[in-house]
Amino acid sequence: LQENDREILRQVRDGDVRQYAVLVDRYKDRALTLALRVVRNREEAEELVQDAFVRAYRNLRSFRGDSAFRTWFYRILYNVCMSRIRQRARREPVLRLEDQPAMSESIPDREMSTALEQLEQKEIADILSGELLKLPDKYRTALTLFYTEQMSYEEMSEITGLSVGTVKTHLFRARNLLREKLVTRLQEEVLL
Amino acid sequence: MNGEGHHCTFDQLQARIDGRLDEREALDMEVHLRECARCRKAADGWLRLDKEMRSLPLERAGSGFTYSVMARVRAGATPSILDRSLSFLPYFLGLIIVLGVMGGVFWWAGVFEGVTLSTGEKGVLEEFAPVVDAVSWGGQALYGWFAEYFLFAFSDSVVRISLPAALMLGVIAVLDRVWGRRLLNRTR
Repeated sequence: LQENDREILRQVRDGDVRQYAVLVDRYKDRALTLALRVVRNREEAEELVQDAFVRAYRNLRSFRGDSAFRTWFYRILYNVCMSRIRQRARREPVLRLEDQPAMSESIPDREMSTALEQLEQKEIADILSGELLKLPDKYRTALTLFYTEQMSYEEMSEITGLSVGTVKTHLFRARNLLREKLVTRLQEEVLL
Repeated sequence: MNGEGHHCTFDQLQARIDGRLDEREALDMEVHLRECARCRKAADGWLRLDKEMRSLPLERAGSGFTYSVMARVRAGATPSILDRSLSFLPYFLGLIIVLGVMGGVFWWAGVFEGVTLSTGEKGVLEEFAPVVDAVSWGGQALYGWFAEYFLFAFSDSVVRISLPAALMLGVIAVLDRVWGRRLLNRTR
């Protein structure tokens, strides 16, 4: 796929702008998923993904091909989304959940596996998506890049500009937090 | 982890899912999981969470999404009038330089010495003296070029014609090579 991306980029650089649509088609859904998880608003997410694609096109000359197009593009998208989050935070300051103390590891396992088994797949996906959106920005981003985009720690580090160690920490805390929220939510669902 | 009362940490369980444990650690953990129901249950929970996270559906962009992006890309790829004008600036400057050189060559060759103006032409020139002064350098060069061409085109001064012409074409070709391709890519 990366080789194919490079070939398409070569054609785009040679003036065949239409080929860029192939890349847009290839990455639009994953990009939208990431943007939506970060900004939590569909219209905004679509707008930001469009912006990211247009920016990427305008800056194609600066893409040297050291990394995959996907990584380079996601870095642009990530920056666009983070910029929007910062703008929003300036307008409407809210309690930063990530400032809360990290999860304790002593939370007892509350039969998450058993609770999951009692729910339909669709219900699980809905609950998981809902709980995911309640996580702080950086944890939502970490989980989305890791699971949805299936990126390595190194790629995540390149995209977010954070060290690999920090990426691992974010992912670890994100999963713990998600797990805790999920266990609580699942208990409510199963008990109701 | 393997001792009585010791259980897997969240970090160890996550490392197992991510494949971050080395061979020895992985083996130790599997042995422990076989013996410890509590950790086994926790590990199953983490595995299930991992599986569910990976199978979350992707969002689907609207049907007109690609079209909208490409419309913006194409709009951005079409330069404004100012951009287009600036893009032609190198051609213009190149032409002025070439004409200037040509004018200098023709002046040095004495081409302008044979040019005489009628009384009417002189009157017009005096009336528009400031304009004439402003464009005289380039204008004389241009005039010199045509004068040279018409005066000597059919004479034996082929070299005097062909060398400057080749020089001029060369400069234009270089400018076109450097700027033309960029301009073409931007406007396509």
